[in-house]
Amino acid sequence: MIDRDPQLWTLTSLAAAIRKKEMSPVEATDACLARIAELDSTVNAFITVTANEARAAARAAEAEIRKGKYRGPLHGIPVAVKDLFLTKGVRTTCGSKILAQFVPDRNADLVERLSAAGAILVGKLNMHEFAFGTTSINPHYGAVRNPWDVSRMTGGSSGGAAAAIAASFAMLTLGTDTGGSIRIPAALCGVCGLKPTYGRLSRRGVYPLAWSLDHPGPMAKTVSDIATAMSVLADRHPQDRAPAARDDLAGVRLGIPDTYYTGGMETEVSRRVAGAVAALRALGADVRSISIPSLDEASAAAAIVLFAESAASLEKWHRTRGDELGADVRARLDAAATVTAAQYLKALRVRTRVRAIFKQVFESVDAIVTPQLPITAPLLGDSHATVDGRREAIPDLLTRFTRINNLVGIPALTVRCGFSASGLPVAIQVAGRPFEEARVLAIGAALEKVSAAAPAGIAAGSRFVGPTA
Amino acid sequence: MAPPKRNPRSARGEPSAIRKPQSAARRPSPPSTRHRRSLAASIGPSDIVKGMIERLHAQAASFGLLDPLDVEPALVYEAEESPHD
Repeated sequence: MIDRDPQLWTLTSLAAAIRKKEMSPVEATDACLARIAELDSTVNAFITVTANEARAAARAAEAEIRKGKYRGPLHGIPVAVKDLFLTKGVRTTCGSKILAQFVPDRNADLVERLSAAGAILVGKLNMHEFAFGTTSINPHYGAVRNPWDVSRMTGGSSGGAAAAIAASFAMLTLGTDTGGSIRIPAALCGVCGLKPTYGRLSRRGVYPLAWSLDHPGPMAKTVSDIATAMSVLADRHPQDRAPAARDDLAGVRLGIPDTYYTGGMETEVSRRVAGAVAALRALGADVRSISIPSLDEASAAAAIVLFAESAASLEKWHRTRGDELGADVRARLDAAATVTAAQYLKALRVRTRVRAIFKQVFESVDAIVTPQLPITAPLLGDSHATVDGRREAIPDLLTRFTRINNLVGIPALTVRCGFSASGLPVAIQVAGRPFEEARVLAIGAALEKVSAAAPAGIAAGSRFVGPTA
Repeated sequence: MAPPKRNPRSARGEPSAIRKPQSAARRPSPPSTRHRRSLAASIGPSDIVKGMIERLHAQAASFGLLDPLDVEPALVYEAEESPHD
């Protein structure tokens, strides 16, 4: 029998309870809405809560299930989407003042898929303005606060999407990832996030930031939840050969890069990541050191492509309503407007070369395992952090290990692998070949089973508003 | 001022930004080098923006002078990997 407390649910466990009629969609939705009402004034994960629409949809789902019309594992599940997915009749702000009153007349494809699967949309999630930043400190809608410690940031740009999962406001959320915007907040908030292969999930009806780097994707409490979400959100792809489910990783070749991802990390992050690699080896994986050349160049190319394409996609607002943009986004767009065509084209050429390098790397390994971030969640007011004796801007630290995978377009999964002494989550990143989401998820699921659970005692802590089950 | 929260149906239709008639003063002129120059001038004293620009251009400079024969030019992402776009 499932517990009545959303903190103890996962998407998978709630779906099973709804299918077996141990829990009704109305009860599940009311429980999540009650948590939002109680705690979101602190967390600030939502820009818009669609309580009335959610209750109506939950009643409809309940009636259908009672009649035996069970649609599948998202039927009756409370979900939420980043506020840049178009939602028919519900305002879509993109975290901006400029679009504060924008109410679309159609749904994004992925919202439509959630709706067709019977999911219950409980609201639209707070984010970094226009997704152009990594902190989710939003000047118009307020900063999203990290549920593990509300004095700390969630990261971004999909900060609300990660916080809503960590605080058990919803069992599945959708975010977007252009330079790390799913994986950064997933890691800082201790939840799972998947940036699928470029083009794997539909972007129709998703407000763009950088066309060739934007990836929509799911966030949830467990790898199994993510796999369930992908079964609804994605079409089957012939290259996505699902390995048989098993507890060990015998014969799976995992590459650990010998440069770039190795230094400049908090000591506790290094330790937890080393522990996760040891756990993967203990599960039977063939863990080997690999060399990937040109990673510094790839990181630079990712930045140039991001800024050049953002300058183009947001040019209208930058040129006509620039004074209504938050200072940080405006500054980025000011800088972005100076990138030249030659620089952009050279960055694209670098991308071609780097993609060929990754293709070659994936001939010798099945996945690449790296730390997800070099740091744990920074305090909300911090702009820089000193790591390994070097002072760096927090946005640079947060995107260092994420943005290359946007440039290359390969699937990358964030999995929690432990906690710092102060109770902040640490995560690793598992990246795979294009369209091999299933393999990446299988590796993540095996690791998740042997990773440390939330530290005892934290759930009772006054700073804490919600553990992941 | 922050817009009201938890008011999902506060307005309908296109964003006011889209509906608003553009006055001559606000109508964007075609992209031009003049725009970039005026933008650069407006950036003026912001150390943050200057820092970002310096950083971006340093990153671009790290590509060096690419050999024209070294790689095939890639002007667009491979279409077959983006079935939805």
